[in-house]
Amino acid sequence: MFDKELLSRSNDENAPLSVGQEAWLDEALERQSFVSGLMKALPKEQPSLAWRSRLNERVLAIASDAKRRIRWLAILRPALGIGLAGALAIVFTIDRNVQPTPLRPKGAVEAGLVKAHEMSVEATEIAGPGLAEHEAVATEKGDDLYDWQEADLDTL
Amino acid sequence: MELTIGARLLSSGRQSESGVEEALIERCKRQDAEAFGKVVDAYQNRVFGFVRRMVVDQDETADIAQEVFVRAFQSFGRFDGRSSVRTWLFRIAHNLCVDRARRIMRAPAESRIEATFDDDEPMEIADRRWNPETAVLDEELMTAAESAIGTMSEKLKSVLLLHDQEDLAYEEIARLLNVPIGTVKSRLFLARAHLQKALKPYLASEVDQNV
Repeated sequence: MFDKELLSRSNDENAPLSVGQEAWLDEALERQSFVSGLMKALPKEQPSLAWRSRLNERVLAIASDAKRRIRWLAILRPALGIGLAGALAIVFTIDRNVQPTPLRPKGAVEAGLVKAHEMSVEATEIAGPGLAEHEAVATEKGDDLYDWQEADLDTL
Repeated sequence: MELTIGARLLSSGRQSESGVEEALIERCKRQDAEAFGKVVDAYQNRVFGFVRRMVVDQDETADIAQEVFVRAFQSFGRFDGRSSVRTWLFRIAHNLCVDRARRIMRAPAESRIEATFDDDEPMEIADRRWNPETAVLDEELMTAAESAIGTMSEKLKSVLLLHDQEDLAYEEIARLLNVPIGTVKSRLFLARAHLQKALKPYLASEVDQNV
């Protein structure tokens, strides 16, 4: 007889079958086995050549994209690795705490050179670039250096 | 012979020790188009036939069947070998067909199986057209069968096609559909009963004419 309870349970995906129901089901499936023969006798479907040709094109396109990606990675990975290694080398080898070493003259000649340099720097700071040391000395007449006459204007 | 030697090995549900099959699968995992072509040769008709009966529309059948193989090729690297290549392909096909059905949200009117239907009486199979050994069906009966299959829901149709047409075992179908084996058997019973009921009036009249 038709098992109504089995029908209602079969609609509930999570409901497990009892041993009795499973046995009944196996027997019923055995009785229905001729349906399997009917299904196998249905005509076989075959895709067209155009379908297969189109599929081949798509598969080849995917394969060539994959190969291109692999080639790029083969070039990019070592380059990135070298770049990263170089950056790390720079970071870890540069000493950021280096202070400028002061000039320590050794001997009279060196002392004289250092003194002259220091005076030159001082003079530049006072009077600007281009003036010699003696010119940086202040005078009573402030306009001595600027003694010019009207005739000089013609030379401008 | 539809299947090549290598392809025939692929259809086995058991993990084959054959170097040919393993080598073919390894090449497919590396997206070797030529190796994958052998897989397509082995399964294109079966996958196409399955999809054709799941979705009915010819244009969609072609698109979905192609998509099955394209996705298989793209994701072959993730194929872990726990199931056979055949089961894996049918899983992809089933999922695509179900997705398509959800998009369309078509709910075919499935005729209710009446409780008074007595399936203790086997159908009379005096008609030679039922003889599976001859494997030749009258066009009318074939049309009626196709129509009956077309009115089934995806749940029943998929189990019927996978078991009765593609000879997948209950365990394989259960893994493919991610349902218990009992559910597979229940759905198969209902699908067969649906087909039986749909064809009974047709065959009853034919048998009467032949008497």
